[in-house]
Amino acid sequence: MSNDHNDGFSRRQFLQLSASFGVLATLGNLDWASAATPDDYKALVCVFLFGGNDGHNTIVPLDQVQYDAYAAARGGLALARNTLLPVDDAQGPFGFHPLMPQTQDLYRTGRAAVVANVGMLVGPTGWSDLGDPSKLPANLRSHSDQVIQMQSGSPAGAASSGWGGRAADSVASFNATAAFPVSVSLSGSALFCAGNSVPAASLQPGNILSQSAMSLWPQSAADARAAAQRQVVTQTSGNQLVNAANKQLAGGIDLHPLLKQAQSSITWNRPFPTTGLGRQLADIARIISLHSQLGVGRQVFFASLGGFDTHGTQSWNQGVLLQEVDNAVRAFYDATDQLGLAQSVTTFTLSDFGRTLQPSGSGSDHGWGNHHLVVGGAVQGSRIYGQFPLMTNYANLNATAEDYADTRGVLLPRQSLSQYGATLARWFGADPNTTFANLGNFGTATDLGFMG
Amino acid sequence: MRSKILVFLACALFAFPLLAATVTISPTSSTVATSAARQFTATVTGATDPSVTWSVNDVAGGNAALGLIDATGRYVAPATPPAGYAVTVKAVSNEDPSASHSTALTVRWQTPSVSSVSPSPIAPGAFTITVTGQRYVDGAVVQWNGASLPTTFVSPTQLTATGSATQLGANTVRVVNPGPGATSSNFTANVVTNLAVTVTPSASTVPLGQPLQFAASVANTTNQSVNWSASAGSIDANGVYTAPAAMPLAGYATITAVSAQDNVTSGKTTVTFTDPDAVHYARFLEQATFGPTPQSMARVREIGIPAWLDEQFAKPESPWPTNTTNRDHVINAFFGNALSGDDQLRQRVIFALSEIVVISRNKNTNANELVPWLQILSRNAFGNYRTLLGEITLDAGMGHYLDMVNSARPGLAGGANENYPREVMQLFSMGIHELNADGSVKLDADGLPIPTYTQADVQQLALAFTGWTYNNSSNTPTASGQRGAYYPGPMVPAPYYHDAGPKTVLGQLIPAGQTPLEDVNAGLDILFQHPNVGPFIATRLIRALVTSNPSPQYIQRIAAKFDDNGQGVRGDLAAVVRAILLDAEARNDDPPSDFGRLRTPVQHTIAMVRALGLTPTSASNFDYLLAAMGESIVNAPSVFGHYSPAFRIPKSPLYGPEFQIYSPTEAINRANFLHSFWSASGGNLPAALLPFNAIASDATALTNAVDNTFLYGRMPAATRAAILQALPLMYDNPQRVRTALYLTLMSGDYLVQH
Repeated sequence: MSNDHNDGFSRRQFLQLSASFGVLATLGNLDWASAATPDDYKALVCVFLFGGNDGHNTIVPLDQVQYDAYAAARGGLALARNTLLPVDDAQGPFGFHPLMPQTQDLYRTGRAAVVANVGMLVGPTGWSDLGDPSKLPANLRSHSDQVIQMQSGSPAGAASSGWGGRAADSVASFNATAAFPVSVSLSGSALFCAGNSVPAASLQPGNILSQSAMSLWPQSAADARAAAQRQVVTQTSGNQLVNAANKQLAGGIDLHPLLKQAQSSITWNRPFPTTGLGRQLADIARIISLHSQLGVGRQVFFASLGGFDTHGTQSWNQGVLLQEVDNAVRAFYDATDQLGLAQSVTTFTLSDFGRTLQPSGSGSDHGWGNHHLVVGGAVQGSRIYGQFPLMTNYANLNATAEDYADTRGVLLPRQSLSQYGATLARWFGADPNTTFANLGNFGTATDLGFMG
Repeated sequence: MRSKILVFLACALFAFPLLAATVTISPTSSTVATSAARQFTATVTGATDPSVTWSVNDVAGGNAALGLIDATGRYVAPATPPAGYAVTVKAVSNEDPSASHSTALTVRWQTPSVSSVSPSPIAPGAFTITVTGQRYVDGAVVQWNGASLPTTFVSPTQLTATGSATQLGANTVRVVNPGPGATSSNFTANVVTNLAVTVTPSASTVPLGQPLQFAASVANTTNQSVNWSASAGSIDANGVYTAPAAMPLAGYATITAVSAQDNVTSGKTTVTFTDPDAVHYARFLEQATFGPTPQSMARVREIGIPAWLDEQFAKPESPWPTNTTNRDHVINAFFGNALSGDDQLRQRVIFALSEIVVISRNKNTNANELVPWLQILSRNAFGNYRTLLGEITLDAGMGHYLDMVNSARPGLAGGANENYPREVMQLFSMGIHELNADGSVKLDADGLPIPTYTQADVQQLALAFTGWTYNNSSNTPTASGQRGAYYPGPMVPAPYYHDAGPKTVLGQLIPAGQTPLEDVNAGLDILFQHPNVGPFIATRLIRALVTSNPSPQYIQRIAAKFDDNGQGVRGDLAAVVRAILLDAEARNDDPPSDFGRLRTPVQHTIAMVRALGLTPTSASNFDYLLAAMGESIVNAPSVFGHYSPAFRIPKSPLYGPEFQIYSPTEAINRANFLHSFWSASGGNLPAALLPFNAIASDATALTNAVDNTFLYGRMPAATRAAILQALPLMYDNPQRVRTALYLTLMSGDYLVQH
């Protein structure tokens, strides 16, 4: 292991590990692979906002000059200044979307931060690079590509693994005894969760994968049917797709007893909303509650909410969706707090891309850079990380104020997904360089600081 | 209440002491064997004197022939039954001779017993046996397996009888004395042969309709002749067997040879039927339809694959619901046409196109926004792809779905919308990377993929596609011509909103000053002529119909057919579909290990339902369950469809788009969904499954039935062994049927059409 892996290794983590080993180690000699501590748990929870959330209306500058520039650019999409939910940052006053009061509260109490103008980048990118496709991610503004890239953590096209999965790969030593998938999507098969070696699974909220065909009397008949099914799905066929299909069903059969255990009831102090995202996060909280029993030390989760591709009627649609995020994420934070794991679980948003500042009818078009939200006890909250784009720069578009990539108000990202993700991965205990292959392109600025 | 009545009745009896006397005998209607005694009692009421006088057939005290009865009512039967095996016992009140009571008494022979039968064992064929036992009377009959034999009375302890043994092993012997009710217990007599019949070949297979010579040898006799029979098919006197022409559900026959020496000793073997052509035609129908049925198998066998394709190309289109906004009607038509439309090939191509040129009810919520899309796919499924592109580009539902409707030239509200221009290039025509003719990605000098279009192309095409609005005649046009939502029919030009300037798309000029329609056509022509379209669409259609991992050569052959149907026409979908299905790679019945494609939940369900002849409820009733399997009908989560064409099988280099919606979770959901089809109301089997139920006690027959119905005789040995092992442990036949179906239909061999 090279020493530079340790650059971002926080003092807090070091003390934790030292304490659990009962020895004093120097940072330079500490071997990452031997850092496993069974009673240590951390989880990264991705909330993906499918369709491209309009970050311009998620967090808005309240400074009068900036707000006026915002309102002028957004036209009918502009949120009224007096409805925004104010929060403070060194860069000035800002306001969350009016339907995000829980996020405002988490931010004000230091448990949430905003990371501004994050986007998929090959390397640090300025105006002069915009004409050179080799310096840009493939197929910017294309949903399918950006959904893949934000999950794969790679600005190239096709990918077979996601950065959540790779982060989990690199903390395998924490999961030597894991009796449950380490990388879990509650939202279908997610590239984000696919690692190169980590056991991944996609689950549906509330579904513990019982087979109705196995509810059979007498029990001897049910047992015989189950035994025969196992024999069928574990055979080896000469056809690779047949084997793959059998393997998927076998995976479901194996998960059932574990999910049954995870379902064991917990009464949450703050009930989860019965929304799609609420149900996903509730199941994640239940799985997290079993981490000791299941011998899992590190887990990656993926949840999602769709519908953010607001080309039309954005004002209404986005508000409803952000409210769902606000309520579900708050309930999830409180659940981790109830479990005594608020410090161990970090929730963060991803989205396809940001949107144009300039409206398109009653909606907005596909953009690039976007603002993201990070929530958890370990988050250094009450701050906006990264330079928030100046709305006044949109009106005076030029090469010295590189906040915008074009006249539609597409944000030119100041911070890459790789830096954002590496900051999370480092907190998680993962090797940020195997998690993001292009992290080296950003020099030493690989930690945005929001995880301390 | 009741006790009051009883008190009243008692008072009434005492109040009328002069009531007539009555006599009651007990027991009544009884049976007694010869020489046995039976005690009768007589109860006298209404008289002071309880005594009676007993008689038998009115003979006081009876006599030796009728039996004797004493003053206490004790009857002793005679040594020989009286005529008719019956007497009447009567008691007369001594105080009131008018009061009497009679009862019938059956007097039968004593029950015989059997202690031995000789010879033992008995040889098959005609026999004379001696039966030894007790209490036989003249006229006693020996019964053999319940049937009476000619019997000779030898003595009260011995009978002889003649008969014929036709069943080896245990047979029952009993003796029945004349008259009623004098039957011995069963005695077991063994029939043992020293002959042995061996039939060869054993455990053979024979193709349907084909002959197979059987031979029999009979041990321990010089008489080698046998009589042949078969449980299915026919067999002649020489042992030449002919398999039935059509596959019986049980899938096999038992062949029996009976020795002519004793007409009893038999040898048996089984012969399993094979249907070698079934794989050939069923594989084709799995690719060209929503799954084989007995009818479609018969048809394609009859006329052959090329003629079957011609027939399908000529079938009229199944209808789509019009004049409705209820999206359930669309869901039901989509599923229903696929399930039972006669235009199966068209429906299969519509299904494929619906994952390429996508509209979804997650945005287009009403039926009338979806039906024109499906009509365009249906109408053009065997038409020209350029026509399809033209119609879908101007479709009002697509205009709504991808925001081309009311897209306006720069400077006007909204501006030129880039959504449809981007997707029509990326998803409906060219894809994002330049392709070689064989579908592989073209690389530049640095080994990097070459984008097919740039953001500038998107913006330019967006300008060309400005100036279209809804054809809403009831909506007052604004000064500039844009109108509110109206879905039936295509969009109409709104020239004021059209960008009149020149556009350059993919390096080609669209001149200034054209009408909106001229610009749309010019733009689409540029896309349609791009060399990517052939390999791009060929790959998508091959994956949808035949295999997820076609060879580059296969793609190239189909792309070439797209480029030129042989008559200089580009984009002829009928020619493309025909070429895909007739290609040697598709028709190779022994394909390589990477061949095949996973059935989607809808395809899997419909194939099962078609093969079994089930009659499911409307799909709108269970669409929420399909949603839990990732395939809510006409409800793709995005314009990329229900699954990505670029999805690779987990931990594999192989493509498997449909695997994206077959995670372990979705696999269990699918298993539960399929299982729900095999119970009718009350938990009974649906009527369509009763033929399976009828053979379910024979594990081999049931296993053959599911193998032949779903896997065309290709069931792997491990699956067969698993089913055969489980079936005997089931409680009843419906459990057996569901076990065989469940294990087979959720096996990878059925999930993957290959």
